[in-house]
Amino acid sequence: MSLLRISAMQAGYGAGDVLHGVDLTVEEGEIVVVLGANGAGKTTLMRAVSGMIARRGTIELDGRSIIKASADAIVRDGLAQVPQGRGTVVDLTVEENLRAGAHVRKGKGLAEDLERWYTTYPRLAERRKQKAGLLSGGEQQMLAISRAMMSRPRLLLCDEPSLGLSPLLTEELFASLRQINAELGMSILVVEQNAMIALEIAARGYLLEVGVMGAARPAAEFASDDSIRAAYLGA
Amino acid sequence: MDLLIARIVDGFNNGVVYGFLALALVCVYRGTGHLNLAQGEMAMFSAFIAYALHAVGFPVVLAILGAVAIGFIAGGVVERVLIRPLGHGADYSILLVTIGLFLVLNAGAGVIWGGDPLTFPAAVPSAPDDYISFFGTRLRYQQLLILAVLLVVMTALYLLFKYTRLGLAMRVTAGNPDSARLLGMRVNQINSLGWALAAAVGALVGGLISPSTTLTTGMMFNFLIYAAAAATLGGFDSPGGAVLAGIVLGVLENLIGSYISWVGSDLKQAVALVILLGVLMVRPTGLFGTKKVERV
Ligand SMILES: Nc1ncnc2c1ncn2[C@@H]1O[C@H](COP(=O)(O)OP(=O)(O)OP(=O)(O)O)[C@@H](O)[C@H]1O
Ligand SMILES: [Mg+2]
Repeated sequence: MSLLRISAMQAGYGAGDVLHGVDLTVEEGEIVVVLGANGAGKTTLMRAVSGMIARRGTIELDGRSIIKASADAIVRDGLAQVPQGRGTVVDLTVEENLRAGAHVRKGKGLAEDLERWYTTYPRLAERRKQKAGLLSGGEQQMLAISRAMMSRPRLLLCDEPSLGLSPLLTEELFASLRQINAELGMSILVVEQNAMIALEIAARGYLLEVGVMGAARPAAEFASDDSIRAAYLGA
Repeated sequence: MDLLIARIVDGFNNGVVYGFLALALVCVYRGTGHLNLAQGEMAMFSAFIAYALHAVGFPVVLAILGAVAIGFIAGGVVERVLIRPLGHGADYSILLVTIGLFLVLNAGAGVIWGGDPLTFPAAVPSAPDDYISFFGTRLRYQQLLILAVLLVVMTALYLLFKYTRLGLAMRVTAGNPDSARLLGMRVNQINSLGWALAAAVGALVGGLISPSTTLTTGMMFNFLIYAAAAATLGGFDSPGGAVLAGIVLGVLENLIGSYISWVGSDLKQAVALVILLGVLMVRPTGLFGTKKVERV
């Protein structure tokens, strides 16, 4: 059984659907990437899965339907999302943001987890008492990922983690996602425009074109497909 | 010299009330990010409820605590029924609704309890000689009680916001409601709780000050203006800052009103506004508020 199974899901913003029947699965321990251009509906997909916008169809987390669940219940069910633009609370400190991430766990094992993410991202450790708003874009993205991981999710959703980061930082960040996946067996669903780097860490990929999801393909196959290369890989 | 101290003490006592009501504003702000203009009228209405409970036989302290409990529930209900349906991000509609609530409570209290001032007894002995002498000035027991309760409430709120899971959730909810939901926080409940807490704090203020102000539908009006000024000066998200700003405002206002003859008691409120504007020009986030920091 897949950890996440989405089938014939439609979602939008009232004025009409943005997603017209999405099918997608994520297996336990797998990294899956959804590629798509600006406005394809990647963020809409993320927000629909995490219950932030209205949606119809089937979404199952570990076999249990979450289509009717509220956003906060979905987090308690083990799904954490790093939103596009990071969503850190700028006037709270780095550490307060991280503690907020552990909200659904009611504080159990908090100190250990803080240490764990400070070790993964030493730059956060140095700035633990600083306001999150003072962090650089890359540091904020690290904070957003750590904060999501503080809920000890079973599935991590990342919405364009590369947004606004330099190529070097993007590289570093994806390396840390790969590390989280390898060390914790964390299942990750990431949507990206930066196809090249995302395909490097993913097992499988999907292509989302203006609200229509293509079939799943192995990441390697994507990277060598000429039409994809032309459209998304800038080559 | 004694006169100076007397004026400082008088101003201090007023300032304590400003700061106390400002704490209620801070609770709503911390839990929802909004300003509730009906906060003072909610406190006034609660004072009348305490009066009504006392009239049917409850002792003063129990009557006040009863009004606090009723205020807590009513505050949560107001959020649920009047504020939440407006949706997130409806800042101006919410402000308008709080003005509407202001008018309804004010008129409602007038209809139920009439326009004449009522008297509500103090919670502690308050015969003419129930005071402590302080450099020739009288500190009345009731005033000391208000100060003590204020310090307890302020400390409790500080600890709540700073050190508890719930307080942190309130701050995240006020700062970024979408993020709060993505972290599994029950944003609606937290908003209700902010309103409930604020209403309870307001009820406490109403019940404690009505013995000295007498109970009228207009008793909180001036206080709300000062409290809003104090909360703004204090930075809106800092309980200690709000209280300190309230006290500073009360003392300055009284001194300026007493010593600068053309200000007198008529222009005292203008003084508060001038101080407010002056501080905001130098420090837009208030004296103690957290600076909105954002790098782009
Ligand atoms: N809040 C909203 N209300 C109405 N329409 C929206 C809203 N957010 C997005 N849309 C529309 O939905 C479509 C998909 O947007 P979405 O944000 O999901 O794209 P995206 O793939 O994440 O793009 P990007 O790469 O720019 O982040 C767009 O046409 C957009 O205009
Ligand atoms: Mg997007």
